[in-house]
Amino acid sequence: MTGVGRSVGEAARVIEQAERGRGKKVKQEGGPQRLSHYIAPSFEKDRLHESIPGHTSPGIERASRIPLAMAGTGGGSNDVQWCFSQVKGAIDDDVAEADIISTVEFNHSGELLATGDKGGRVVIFQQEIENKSQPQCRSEYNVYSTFQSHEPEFDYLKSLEIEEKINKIRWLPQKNAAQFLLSTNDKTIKLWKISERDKRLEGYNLKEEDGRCIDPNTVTALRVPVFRPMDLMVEASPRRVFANAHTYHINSISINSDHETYLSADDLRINLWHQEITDRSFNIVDIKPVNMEELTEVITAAEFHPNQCNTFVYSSSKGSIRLCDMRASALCDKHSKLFEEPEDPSNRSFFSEIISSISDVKFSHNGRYMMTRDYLSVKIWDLNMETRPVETYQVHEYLRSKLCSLYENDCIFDKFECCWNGNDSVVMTGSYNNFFRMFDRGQRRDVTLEASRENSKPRQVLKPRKVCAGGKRKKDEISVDSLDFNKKILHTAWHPQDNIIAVATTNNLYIFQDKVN
Amino acid sequence: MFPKGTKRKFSDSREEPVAGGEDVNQSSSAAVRMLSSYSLQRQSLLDMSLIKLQLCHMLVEPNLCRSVLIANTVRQIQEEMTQDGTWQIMTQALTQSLSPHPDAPTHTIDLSDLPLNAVHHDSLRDGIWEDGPLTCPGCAEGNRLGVSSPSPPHTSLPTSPSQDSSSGHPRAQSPSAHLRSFEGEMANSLGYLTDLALDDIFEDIDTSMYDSSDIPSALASYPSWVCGVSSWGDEGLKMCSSYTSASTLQQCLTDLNDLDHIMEILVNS
Repeated sequence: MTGVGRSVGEAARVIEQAERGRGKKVKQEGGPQRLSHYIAPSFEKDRLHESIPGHTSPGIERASRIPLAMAGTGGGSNDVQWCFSQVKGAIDDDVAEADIISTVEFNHSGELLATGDKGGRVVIFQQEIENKSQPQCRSEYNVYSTFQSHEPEFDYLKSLEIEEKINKIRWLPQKNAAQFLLSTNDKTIKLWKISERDKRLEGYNLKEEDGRCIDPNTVTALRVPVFRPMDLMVEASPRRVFANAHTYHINSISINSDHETYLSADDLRINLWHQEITDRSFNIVDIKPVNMEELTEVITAAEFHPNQCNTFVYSSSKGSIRLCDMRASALCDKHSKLFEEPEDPSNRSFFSEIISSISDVKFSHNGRYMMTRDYLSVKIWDLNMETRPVETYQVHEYLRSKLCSLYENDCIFDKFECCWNGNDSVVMTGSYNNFFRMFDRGQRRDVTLEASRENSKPRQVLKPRKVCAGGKRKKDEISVDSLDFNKKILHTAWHPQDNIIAVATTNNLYIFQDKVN
Repeated sequence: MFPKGTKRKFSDSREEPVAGGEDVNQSSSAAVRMLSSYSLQRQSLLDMSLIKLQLCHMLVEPNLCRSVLIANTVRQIQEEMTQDGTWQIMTQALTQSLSPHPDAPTHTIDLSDLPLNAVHHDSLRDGIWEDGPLTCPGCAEGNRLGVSSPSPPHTSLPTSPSQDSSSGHPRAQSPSAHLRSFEGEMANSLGYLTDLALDDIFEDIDTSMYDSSDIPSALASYPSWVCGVSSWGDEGLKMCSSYTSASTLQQCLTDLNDLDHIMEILVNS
């Protein structure tokens, strides 16, 4: 499995991290604990694949790739058939707390897939395509880099421990050979640079090969150092640390389309940062009441518009979304648009507010729509219509009668995320029992699939699952009471161009692709 | 509004008043059972929420969103209970529980005149708090819990005129019947509890965790008997049995009963 100038072997990768402020490089053998868990299932090693020299070329333009919708072109069966591709993570049921995946994100080209976990680590997978010449080809994601992004900290003033759990990862658009991403925990955002090194300098005049200094007085002749190839090394180094700007827990970060700024949102405030400046940020939204006893609503998510660099939205725990225009005023407490759907009086209960709380908001790629996820449904909003969503999809309506027990076991507070596919025709979100749901907007069709080890044979087509809400349970259906509420899929991601999805269960990452003929 | 798919369950002890009453026609007693079942459900939800809030506060990493959502749920319940008068009854009963008054009513309960729509569900709207914290008149007058002399049962409800008009039923008679019914139930239960030497029972339970001044004062409002409720409508699902902590509530009795003090937890976190 050796390509040109590069060895592909997960365990062989050496991760080097620059120690910030200390000026020395630390070589870590094998990286953090988690690497050892990434033992690819044996079936994966059987497949030959070429390595791609793609790291120096610019990201592939979106237009040149044909995005595949859930419904294919041509006659016959139009549905995409999702197949198992890979699973990453430990196989045993004993889940180490640090291994719990807390965020999943593809980069803008889809070549890289980043995950963050509760232990503060970031693992990046790189796509390696089996046969580049065919438009539809099998691809595989292998570990590219692993690093410890955040460490647990202790706030001495409040006597509170600050979790190192990575809440969000966002990739910056690629500008040069290196990749940049923002990762955040509850309090601190960090900008990481991930770069490759496959050459090293040899023949220094003042330094021996092992690093010892040579006394200048002993040098009699000068030589020019030369580049020699070496094993590919992927380095992750923290370039910026944006700290001490948030009193409450950061729930979102979003990079602006101006490629210069980004926002970070906590429960009560949203701050605007410049990517280069770490000691200053501008507060643009503040919903903290003077008297905290009057607090009834918090910010749950925020995102910049994909094209308009002056526009962003933020969602609240009361089920409303506010769109703000930064040109209107410096402080965007006053929204430009308020998106809110009046409550259905027939569904009213004590839990109505809790289930209306929005856990995620995502703009469509074309910027015309946004999607929100509340506990039981996914709603698509047209940015020009504030009164109600244009589409509503029920994720797991059968849970409506179980809200009380879901409140008791705290599942009602689970924050599910949602995502769009590349051409905004299909949306996806997770559910319980390791189920995840896809809704085809054009075809008005939805499907429930399961991410489980049982369905993990190579290229196995996923069979649609069905939950029986009541009455007689048909064969292959699962009844609501048999659902495992500890197996929840909160984080999913869709490749920006192809039908490749990454679905995170508690501590495993599943990668599914559409069926290749 | 009853949660959808609710199965009506009730404990037999609650049924006694109805069985003992004479001339109770079937439809009205069924409605009464539904009502008291709903009240029990609501009460257990309230207890669970308060305990969750307390646990929230004790966590290393208080989750503000969760705390706010639970606090809003508690407010909703309190709002509704205030409208139908249950809130004041409970706070009254708590006062009585500390020193059972010999004149506490123990007559059999006649729930026949309990109106069907005594419990409102259509006024769960925002803005109800703009007048400030809702306290029962007795407490507002400084009649704190722990004071030995119980105040006479209230016959007026602190409802706004708009709520009264939307209630659609005569309030003159129902409040007293309403109050009597709940009061009687509670007096019965409380009599049982105060007879026991509570300290002996809970002696071996380590309550050092709860001996904190941060305990939400709203917990003080709820008498310990309410924790015993275990009925709920969801099919096959257990409720509440893990949330009983009579000793905790007993210890909170000396605090203020103002619900807004729940927000102190949030301020502290």
